[in-house]
Amino acid sequence: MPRFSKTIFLPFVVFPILIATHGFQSKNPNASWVEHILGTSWMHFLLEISLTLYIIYVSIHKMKRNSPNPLKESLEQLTEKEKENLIKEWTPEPLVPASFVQDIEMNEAHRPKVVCESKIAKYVSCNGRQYLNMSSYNFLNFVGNAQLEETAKRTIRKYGVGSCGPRGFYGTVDVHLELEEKIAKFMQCEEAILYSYGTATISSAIPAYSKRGDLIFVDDGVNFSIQQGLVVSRSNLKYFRHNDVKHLESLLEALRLQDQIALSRPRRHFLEKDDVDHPSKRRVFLVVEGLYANYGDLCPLPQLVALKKKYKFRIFLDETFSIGVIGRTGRGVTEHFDVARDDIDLYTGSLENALGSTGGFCCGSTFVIDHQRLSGLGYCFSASLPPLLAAAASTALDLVQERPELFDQLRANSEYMHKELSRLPGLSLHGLPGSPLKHLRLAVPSESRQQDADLLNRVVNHVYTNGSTLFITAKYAPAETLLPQPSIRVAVNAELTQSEMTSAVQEIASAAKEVLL
Amino acid sequence: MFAEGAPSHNPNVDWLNTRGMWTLYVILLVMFHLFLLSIPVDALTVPMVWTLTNVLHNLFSLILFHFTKGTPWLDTDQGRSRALTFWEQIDDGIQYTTTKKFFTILPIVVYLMTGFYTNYDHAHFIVNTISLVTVLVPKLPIFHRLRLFGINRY
Repeated sequence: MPRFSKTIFLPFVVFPILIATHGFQSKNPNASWVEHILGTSWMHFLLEISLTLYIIYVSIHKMKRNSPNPLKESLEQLTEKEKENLIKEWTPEPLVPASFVQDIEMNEAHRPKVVCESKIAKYVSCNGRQYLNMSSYNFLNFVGNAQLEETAKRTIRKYGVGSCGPRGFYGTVDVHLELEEKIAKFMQCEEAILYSYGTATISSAIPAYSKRGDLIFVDDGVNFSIQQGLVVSRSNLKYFRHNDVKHLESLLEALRLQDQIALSRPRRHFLEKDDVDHPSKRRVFLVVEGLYANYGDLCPLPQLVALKKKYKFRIFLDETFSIGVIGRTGRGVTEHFDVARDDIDLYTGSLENALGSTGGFCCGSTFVIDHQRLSGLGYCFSASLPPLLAAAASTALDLVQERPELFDQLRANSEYMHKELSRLPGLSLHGLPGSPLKHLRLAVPSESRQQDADLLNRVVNHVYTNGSTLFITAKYAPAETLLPQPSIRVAVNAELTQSEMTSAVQEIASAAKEVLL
Repeated sequence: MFAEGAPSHNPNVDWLNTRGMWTLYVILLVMFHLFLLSIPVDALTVPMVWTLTNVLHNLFSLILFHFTKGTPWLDTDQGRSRALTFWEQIDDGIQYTTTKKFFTILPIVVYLMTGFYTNYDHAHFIVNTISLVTVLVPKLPIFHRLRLFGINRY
């Protein structure tokens, strides 16, 4: 059969040559159709015969894939004995490799084993002792807020505890719609979409728009959920140095020049497979965080928007940590920098950090958001946010709008903590004065990452055993590709008093002095 | 397109496999032929109309099957069919399926009929043969995802 399938194409090569080299026989216009066919040129006749044969060949040919399964083919070539041997030789690998477990144990060796027995609020009780919590993202002290809890209880009585399905499949309850409307209003966007898990929000939003062949510019300090989104999108990635606008601009300029060349001179080669990377076939995105979880600083939004207008790309802004934190009324970095809302194509935010509930949201224009209702993986394929948590988030949004003085307190506390923490011995402080999320890193890092992490863990452990404040080192997932230096992560609460902050700083200062000096 | 083993859903080409599609296609082609025949112009003799039917039908199928790429639907394919022509998307790229057989054989049959009705005229023969080759060659399985001389590459 394979030999036949090649020879069948021979007439297509032979006939044009024959036609070119021979003339046609003259014909009699008055002949009958039998005479007619018999009297036509023999080349024409043969071409028709071979086309008829080709019809027969095509119609009896079996279905086949262009690339047959190579695994199946190689298995067919094995003898029974070889198969048996292969099966005998095979031993299953452990589901969790031993080296992975060792790595985890080594990383966790000096970390305090914190088991909390209370709500993870401003104060937590661990091992029977009361600690001031400086490690949860509880920026507005909404965890344990009586009003939120009351709302949640009321909602349980009405709707029960779960929503029993994804949003598109019996999981939508009126509180979800109300919350979406409220978020859209709060963020001054046309529409918002609610996700049931904050981490899944941006990692669903990116692949909803950016596909294989598209290009994403990313800050190399983005957090884990963005990294996951980038992986899932399968797009081409270009990293620029953390908050380095110059570097981003040089990358964009290089891309522009590259595009110019590609657009002006399309390369043509014989037998060329097609190329989806052509500039006319891809979209370009920029993904940045508002407040960087791993660094505690803000993205330079005005410069990024200026670049956007110059080089034409779309901006995805992840405000997971900046919503309810940054800005005069907590509306994020656009408010802080006074950037027009329409200049950002997509915002994602979280209800988990400052707002003290669970879930995430995404907002933007109606067209942008509507697309996610069928393409956002986290929205389509996971059960919707439990109504009680949606109602609590809704109340939290009301509280945020009722009490704008919370943000002034938060800023004052953050600035105070910044001033105090920057004086710690052996540690250097990363983050902006106004941001409540700070990272303490070793002033003189050693060569080994593990050694640095151990030192910081010992500082934290010292505070945990001797003091009454709970500090914690930042933890990174094993799959993380953009690892920052190890750090002690400090989260400032808006309702910390002066004396609480002073004692917390004193405790970590004495621990640092003990361990590091 | 979804989980492994699930049926493919590409609304861009799936309609070709629906019931009555072949009949409809043939009826439309016949109606187009009759329409050309009914135009009261002296130049449109029967051989001329057959050649026109053949050439225009081939041109139409060349553009529809072998030039337009991508799909207006299907967000879940992650841009996989962005670079594929309509023909390459049919039946998920499997060759010699009944739909593909039908659309391969149809232009040949039209060509053979045209040859007969044009009295095997030499000028008509050349035009019709060239037009047939343009639609038959890209349908060959070895031309799957191949862009000869970079034509229609982007």
